Amino acid sequence: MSDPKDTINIENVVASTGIGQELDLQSVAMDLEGADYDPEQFPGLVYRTQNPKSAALIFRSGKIVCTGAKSTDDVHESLGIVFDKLRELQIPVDDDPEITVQNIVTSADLGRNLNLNAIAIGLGLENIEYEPEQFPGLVYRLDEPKVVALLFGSGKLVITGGKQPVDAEHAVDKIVSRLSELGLLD
Amino acid sequence: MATRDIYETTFDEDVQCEPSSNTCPECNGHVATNVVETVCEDCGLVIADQQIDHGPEWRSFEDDDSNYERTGSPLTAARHDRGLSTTIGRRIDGKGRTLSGSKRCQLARLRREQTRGRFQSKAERNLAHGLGEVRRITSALELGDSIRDQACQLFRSAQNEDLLRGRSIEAMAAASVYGVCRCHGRPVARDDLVNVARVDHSGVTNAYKTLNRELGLPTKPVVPQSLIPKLASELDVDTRVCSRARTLAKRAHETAIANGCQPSGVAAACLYLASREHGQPLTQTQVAAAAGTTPATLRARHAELTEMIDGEVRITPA
Repeated sequence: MSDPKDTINIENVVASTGIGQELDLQSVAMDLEGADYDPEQFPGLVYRTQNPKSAALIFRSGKIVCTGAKSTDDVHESLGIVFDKLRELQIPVDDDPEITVQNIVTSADLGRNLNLNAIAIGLGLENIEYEPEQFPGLVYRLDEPKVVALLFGSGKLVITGGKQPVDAEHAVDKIVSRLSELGLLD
Repeated sequence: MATRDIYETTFDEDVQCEPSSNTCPECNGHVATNVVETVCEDCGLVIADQQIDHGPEWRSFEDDDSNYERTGSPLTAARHDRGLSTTIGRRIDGKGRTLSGSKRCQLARLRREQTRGRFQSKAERNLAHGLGEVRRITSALELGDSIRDQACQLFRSAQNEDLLRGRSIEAMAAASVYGVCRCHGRPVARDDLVNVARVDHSGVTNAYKTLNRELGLPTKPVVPQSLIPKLASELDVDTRVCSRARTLAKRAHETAIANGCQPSGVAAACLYLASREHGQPLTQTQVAAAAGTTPATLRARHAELTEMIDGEVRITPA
């Protein structure tokens, strides 16, 4: 169905990389403007970029984690900015360090209300976590692609755990087909 | 796993003899056993004769009611050794005679070694501890024997899958009980479980999530109508109010008012509405407290319920 696929929106991309060089976070925090470093609260330095809006966590080992970006291109751009800032501080950074996308969180909309109880029974009670006492959404773990989908009563979905944007599309396809098979999509 | 197979080290004296099959090997007819022989009723083949009489070895003709038995209690999954344990008695022996001093000292030494040798491994000790916890929790919650046995079996499976590592045994015991109740569709309230078990909410939740996911339990989602009877008895309402509340809860479930909402909130709202309809009003705070939810949730579900009844309209959640 093309309708739910059109509503797929990437909400968050998390990527990790490393410059292969140990850093003295104290001095980086002093020289880099806009950096937050509170070793008692969190062992990493937090550097927030405005454009694209994201946060980079820089650790003493030289590893960097970037979260909050809205697309894979944004993540590459924001990490590029971080690398440039580090080069300005005379820290040797490779020309093109490897950036690995670890997690992509997407939202989608099936456009109709869902009867979560019936879905829980239909999809198999063994694959589903539905605890309305704890959380209003139904947790459906897929094997292929290896993602976790949260389904809500309004028909909105959240798909998390994917490493590529197409994982979300495959997941939505699978979910729509399984629900239509069971006749739960009216 | 490090727990041993009980039949390798102990034996069950009360051996039940079961026929190996119910069909004749030659003509596949029906096989019947009488006192003397096992015979096929269709072709007349004698399958087994010389039956062993498994009746008692002796009868007691004494005037007092002493009847010395050689057998013990039936096998049960609720004990770590399946019920095949040994207890060494104290002052008197099997026939009722008092023992001499030296004999009693010897028995004391044997008893000490027996207690020390009860567990072959740490895993068995943990199993015994966990099963004891399960038995205590099920008896405190007044759940039946079948639930107790199933919860014990679930605990054993959890131990076999190595899910006990890194989690407290009491939490896993409580989660086994909760899991079995959920599989039967008669959930026990988490608050009750937390009061009885020696763990807090997060421990039980975490353990139950792991159990559910790793063992793939077929747990049915909690439906509001299953919570009504307990709520009604706690608030001491009429049976008419209770049955009206149950009908309302079933309708709410079918028309998807309860979709994604806390079932205790829906149950509380149904009971509140039913009690007001029958002229026995309960306060919102009372009902909400008994259900473990807040008056605000109760009011929200109550508003949806009244809409459903008045207009008979299918409520679509926002």
